[in-house]
Amino acid sequence: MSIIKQIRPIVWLLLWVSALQAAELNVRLQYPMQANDVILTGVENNEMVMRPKGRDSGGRAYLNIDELLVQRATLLFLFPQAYYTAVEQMEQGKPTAALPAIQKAAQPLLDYMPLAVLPGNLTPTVLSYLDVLRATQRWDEAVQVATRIPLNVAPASTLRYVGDLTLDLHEANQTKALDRLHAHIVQTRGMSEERLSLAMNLADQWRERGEYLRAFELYQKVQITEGPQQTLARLWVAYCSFYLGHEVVPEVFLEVLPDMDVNTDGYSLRELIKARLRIREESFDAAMRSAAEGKTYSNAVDPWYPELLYTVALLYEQRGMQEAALAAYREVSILFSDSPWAAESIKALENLTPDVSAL
Amino acid sequence: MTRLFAEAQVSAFPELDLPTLGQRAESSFATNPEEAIPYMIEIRGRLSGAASDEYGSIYKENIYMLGLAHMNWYQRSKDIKHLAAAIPYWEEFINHYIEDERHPLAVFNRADSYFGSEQWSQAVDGYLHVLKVYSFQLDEGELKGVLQRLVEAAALAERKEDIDPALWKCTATDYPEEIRLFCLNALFDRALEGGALDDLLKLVSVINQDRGFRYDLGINLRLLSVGDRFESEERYLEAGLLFSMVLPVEKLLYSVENALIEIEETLFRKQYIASKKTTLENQLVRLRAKREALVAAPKYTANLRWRQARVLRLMGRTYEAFFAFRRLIEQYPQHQHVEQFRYAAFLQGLECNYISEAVRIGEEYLEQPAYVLFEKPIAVQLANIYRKDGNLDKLSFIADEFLHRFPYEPVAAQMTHNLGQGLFVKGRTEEILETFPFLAEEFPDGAFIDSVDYWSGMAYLFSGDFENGLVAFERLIETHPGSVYFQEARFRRGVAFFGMSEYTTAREIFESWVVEALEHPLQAEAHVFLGDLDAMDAEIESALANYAKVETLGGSQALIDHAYFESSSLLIANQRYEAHDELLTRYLDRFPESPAAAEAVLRLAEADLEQGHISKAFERYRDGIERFGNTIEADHVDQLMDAWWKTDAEVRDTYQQSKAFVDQLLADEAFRSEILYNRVAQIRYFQSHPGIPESIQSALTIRQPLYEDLVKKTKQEGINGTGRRLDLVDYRALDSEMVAISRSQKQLPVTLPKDAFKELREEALANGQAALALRLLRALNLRGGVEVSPAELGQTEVDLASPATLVWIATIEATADPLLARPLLEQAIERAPGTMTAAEAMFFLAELEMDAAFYDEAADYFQRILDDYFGYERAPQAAMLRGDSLFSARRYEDAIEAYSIIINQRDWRGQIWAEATFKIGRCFLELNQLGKAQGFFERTYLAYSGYPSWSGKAVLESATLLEDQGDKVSAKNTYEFFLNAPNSVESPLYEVVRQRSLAL
Repeated sequence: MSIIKQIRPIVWLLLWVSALQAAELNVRLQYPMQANDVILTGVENNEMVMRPKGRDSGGRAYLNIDELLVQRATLLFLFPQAYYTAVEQMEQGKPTAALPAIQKAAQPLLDYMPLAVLPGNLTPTVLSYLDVLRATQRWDEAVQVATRIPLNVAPASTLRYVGDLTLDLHEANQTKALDRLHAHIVQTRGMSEERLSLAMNLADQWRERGEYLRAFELYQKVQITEGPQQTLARLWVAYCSFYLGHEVVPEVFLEVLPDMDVNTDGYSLRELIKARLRIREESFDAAMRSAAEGKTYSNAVDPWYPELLYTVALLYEQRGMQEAALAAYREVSILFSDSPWAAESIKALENLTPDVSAL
Repeated sequence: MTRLFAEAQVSAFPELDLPTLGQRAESSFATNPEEAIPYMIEIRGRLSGAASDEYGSIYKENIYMLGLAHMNWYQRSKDIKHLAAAIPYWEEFINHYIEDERHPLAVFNRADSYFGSEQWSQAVDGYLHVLKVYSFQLDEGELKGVLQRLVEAAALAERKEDIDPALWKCTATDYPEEIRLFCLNALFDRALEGGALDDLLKLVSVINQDRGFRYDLGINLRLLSVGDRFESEERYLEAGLLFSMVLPVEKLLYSVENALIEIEETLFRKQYIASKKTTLENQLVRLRAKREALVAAPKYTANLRWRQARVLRLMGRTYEAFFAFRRLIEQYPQHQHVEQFRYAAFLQGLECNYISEAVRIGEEYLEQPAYVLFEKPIAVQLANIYRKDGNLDKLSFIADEFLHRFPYEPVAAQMTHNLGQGLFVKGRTEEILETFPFLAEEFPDGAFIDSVDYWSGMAYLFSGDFENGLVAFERLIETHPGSVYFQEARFRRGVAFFGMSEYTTAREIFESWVVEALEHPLQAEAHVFLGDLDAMDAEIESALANYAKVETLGGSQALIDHAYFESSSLLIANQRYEAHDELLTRYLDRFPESPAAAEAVLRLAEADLEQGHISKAFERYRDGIERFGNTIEADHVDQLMDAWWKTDAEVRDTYQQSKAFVDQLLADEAFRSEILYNRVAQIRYFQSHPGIPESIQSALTIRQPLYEDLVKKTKQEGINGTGRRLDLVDYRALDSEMVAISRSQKQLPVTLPKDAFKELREEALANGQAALALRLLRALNLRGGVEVSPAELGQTEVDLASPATLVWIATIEATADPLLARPLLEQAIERAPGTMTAAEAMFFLAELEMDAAFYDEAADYFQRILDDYFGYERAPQAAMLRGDSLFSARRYEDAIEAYSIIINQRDWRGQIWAEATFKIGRCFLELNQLGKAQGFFERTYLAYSGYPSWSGKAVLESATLLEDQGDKVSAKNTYEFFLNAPNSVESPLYEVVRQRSLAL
């Protein structure tokens, strides 16, 4: 059964109007057993609109995107060699040279972003465009492109890419552009588990940069959806909330956590937050219990591990267990020398002993 | 030398032109380099200094090929001299043809030639040159080869330190993973060989920051083994650092699996640009290989966890160590070292003061019959904990089992010590005496005999059996001179003599002991005894000196309090008020937090009262209440409050009653005559006016000057009207008494106690001193008539209550629900053992039991009051109610015994004797021993006719018995005896008796 159908003239007219907005593009629609080269003319009502190659005789085919997914179709845009050469140039560190060709190939694709849900090279091409815009520091254009990507349907890894762009914007002090893109991520609805997981990763990066509010917003977004990330997201909401100076919110989020045992992911993070809260209220015994237990069930690669270790050191110091405090502070400062907790540890070491470098 | 060796091979080929030379060289170059080389050297010679580009180009090519030909020759012959011969050509090519695209290869070949010809130092330089200039142009395999040979050459050339920068350079993320790992390992070796700790730590930091290193199995195994080495060298800090970095193999596998899934997903969904596909596929292959390696890797996680825990413990990081060992127990319950895990966790738990968890771990250990390594120390430590917690049931159980299994183990003595001390502290000395002697009998050579003797002796002392206590201590001294109890036993021997009232011997023992056991912790207690002995002998200064030492010798707060307050009593008894004031002021300065601080204030106030400093005493009361009123450990503040009301009432009563008395005495001759000439009337008046001071009362007895003066102006009879009026100023003694009384009265606070307490309560509430406010409410309720309903008192108030306040709350609660009162009273007894508050709580509990008809329980409480609180003001009443309880329980013989106790107490003489005598009669009546009953009734109305309420009852019972026996005459005589008695009309039974008499 043919999947192409003829359409009536009245529909054709309507199509003409919408087709004005999107450039016609050569694409290959590849099924497991066959491939059709056609001209893509637009997207409408969850349907891909196309016509046969050659002169436009007015005939249009409407293919439902969901059906295409079921049929395991892949959508491949056909590019001139110049595009691939530009990609190579980009990889060789020549973004300025690469920009025109990549822009020419990718810019028209932005009108077809709803098709990003289909397997194929649509999103990778748009991302290569973003790549080159980033490399040439054309931040506003990059944000314009990125905010047109439907993050809920584009391949999940796109979110990671867009997230990286926000981090670049932060480093480049492009606050307004950053706010726009961050809002685009936060406001995207219907994210799958995989995407939420990437949103978590992005939130982690904000947190590590001390941008607790941005992290808080992303963790909040993740924690409202049931899923494997929910508990960890709640914990991080509590954590960021603590550092944002909230009085009640951290405790509230700790209270709504499900039962956790030592093998539950995030158990040690919960103990860190508890330790922090207990220190704030000067309940040092309880704080030490949480910190030491949390550290035990944590791994050195857990992002909260340096802080846990620092907290343990702090509590040893508070109890007058100087040797133990020194050892723990030194561990932080040596193993996690790039961490802010290393700087704190070095300060503490300077107070505790004149011979900081001695191990 | 190398160049000379090369030139020496030159043969002139004058017959050959240059092209022929070239052809010959080329034809044999690949298969027979030895033959090609002379032609090539000839070419070189002919073209040296050639100016044309063409010849220049041939010359360059020939030089390069000469290098290669020598290397080929070496490959065929394995003679390293050919490699050495190649070097000059490589040198020349490198120096002159830097732009040539084969320049990197020449640099590479020169280094290899040095290496192959065993010129190690030059090889190092050569490879460093390669890395410096061309490291990014070599493929991964070549680069790795260069690095391997560089490391080897540097080792042989003893130039290891020279290559470090190059190795560090190649650990950067720009290089392939395999290269980075190789360099990291090489640097690791270097750091370990040289013992360069700073380098090692730098490496550790790099590893930690790099995911590639962090998740590499080899690196993790390496960290583990280096950590091991540090641990064996007792360098725990370093070992701990490395162990803490090692990731469990499961974690590594998990990371690889995650990466694999991601790449497989990308490839499957075709979400990539076409040109990236190969890279992704290569990554996939690499990750799969990594996964296989990890699956086959040794499972080191358990040992890693153990090492981590052990090192943490050795570093004194107690809290982390506890949880680390606990995790080992949880995750590796079948591990061969699980007993060590458990014991270590147990010890760490104790050190962290996580007692309940430590106890659980210890108990679980002992529950496993297969665990034997540490059962003894664990059992002894558990016993120690049980003792401290007062968990005597568990303590007895564990001690019994342990002592029967290991009677000859030295630690058995610790077990008996715990058991003995635990039972002793809880006052369960009977159990000591029931158990310990049998242990000694069963295991006469047991390791615990001295402990058994000591605690048996202590139990005897506690139960007042000083003779047996002495025997136990003397046996210990004789048989165990090396015992840890030796000095204590010698001291306790003195206590035994003290208890036996052999004060001289006791003093001798204490005096010699304090000299011989100078550092002993019982020194303070010894000085308390010496102080007490001095006080008994009226050696005031010596007593004060001994008491003063108690504090300096570090005595417990209880001993210090005893010493201060005994000193206080001595000073007051000797009217040394200034010294007294100084003593207790010092006490308050030094121990303001002591629960007995308010008692010191109370004593100071009492001294003030004795000196007539009424206003000062009230200042003390107020100060004490305000300073200590919000602490609830002891009742002294409640006593201060009670003293306030009592003193106020006493001073007012004294003034009012004395003034009324003296006014009437002087103005009314008839009244005066009655007081002076009728001793009985006088006594009755004073009994009904207790406020009149003893000094006035005694001044009005015969032969006293005041009495004699008044008698002169007072008729005995025939007084008309009010008679002769006297003037106070004529009676100086009485006048001065009244002046003093008036002065005291004027010193009272202007505000009445009720208003003052209301004000204090409002202030306390405003200041958030809830406990003080509650106390004041108690006083206002008990003494000021302020009503308090049970609804006003809840758990919050209970939590804020001192023991006395708790008893008061119980009395309020009991009005609504006696069941609520009971636990509060028990709590008060527990919190304030040995105090009058405990006695009061016990009395109230007994009354509650009586009301609920639990007579035996009531009798037990009353008995406890008599046993432990005989000085309690309601002890006589308790004795009577105990008899009543037993009577109600129909245990008449026990009741007789209980009532008999009352009439054996000479201090209690008075109405209570009459009551007890009558009640004994009632008991005999119930036992149908009518003769004895009659005897006690007769004794009641004959001996205690002054108490008509009881004599009336006794008369009725006695006469009824007589009537029942048909002896109506005797019955009537009995009635008439009562009716004729002077006070019989005061009896409520007077009319009944009269009617019964008339009826007969």
